[in-house]
Amino acid sequence: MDDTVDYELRTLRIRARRFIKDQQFHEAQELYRNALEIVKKRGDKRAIASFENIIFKIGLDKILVKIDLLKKILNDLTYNE
Amino acid sequence: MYDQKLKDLEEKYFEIENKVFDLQNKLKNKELTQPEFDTLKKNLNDELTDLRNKIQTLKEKNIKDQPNFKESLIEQLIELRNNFQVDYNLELKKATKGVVYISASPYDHFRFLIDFHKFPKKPVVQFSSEAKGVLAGKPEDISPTLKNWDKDSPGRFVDIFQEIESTLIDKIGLKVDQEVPISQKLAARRKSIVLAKELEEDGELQDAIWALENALKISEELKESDKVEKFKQKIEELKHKINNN
Repeated sequence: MDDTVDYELRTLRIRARRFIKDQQFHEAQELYRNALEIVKKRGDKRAIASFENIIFKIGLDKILVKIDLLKKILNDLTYNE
Repeated sequence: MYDQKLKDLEEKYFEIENKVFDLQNKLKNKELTQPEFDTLKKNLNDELTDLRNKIQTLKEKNIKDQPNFKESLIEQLIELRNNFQVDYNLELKKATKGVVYISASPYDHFRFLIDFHKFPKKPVVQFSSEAKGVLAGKPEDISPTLKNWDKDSPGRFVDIFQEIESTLIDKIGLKVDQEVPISQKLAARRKSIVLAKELEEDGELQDAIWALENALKISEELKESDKVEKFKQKIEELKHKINNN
């Protein structure tokens, strides 16, 4: 049983890291949320804290991407007489 | 706690986003003078920069607040040792490198060096000469865990070596219950003896013992008692050398 859970967690982590590399933050966050649920069921406090941290950090990355896009839109605005 | 922080930051972002779209509309409808437009644009740019810096600082702080990496490293090293034969260069708490031994079949044994002194940054994995003969490419090409390593969310060392082991087993293609011809056993023993000699010449005595033990096992299987004795003596001799150094 434990082996199955470890395998599932490992697979989730690998897939999530691939999504992060591709800047697909939403998908990565979803996978880490699934991982968080697994470790919550196990009651592993260290793993829970670690996954919550990761999910938070991905949330920050998502806002950073939006800020950069908005900055670009703003910088492209020019005044025409 | 994290959810509320994210919500606050997102609200701030949407507030600025609305102002940007408002400016865009006013510009389109020619409701602004040039100086008014310049001032609004500059203010919004400053607001976005401030928000960006705030998030960046939070991100860095968040990394520092993460679980104790030293503790997590020790857990990883124990986990690796529970799954593979590993020799660390120092006692567990001070270790910076390790040699991992993988047997892809009873007659094919490989060594790998892992340097984790920069953990949680990506560890450096090196293939030994016998592993390079079977595994083409870099360790990153074989291990997705290594390839996708993220220092903020480090992968597990044991995953790296399980991925390498799985590739080795695929390449060697030997089933455990398959009958191995004597010629293959003899070839494997010759390979181990040559490797042991090279390792001894390089002063890597611990690894030379490991190679000789592989040769010894094969000789025991072949019931060649004279060779078994010879290998045992050589192993003892090397162990003696290590103790005297």
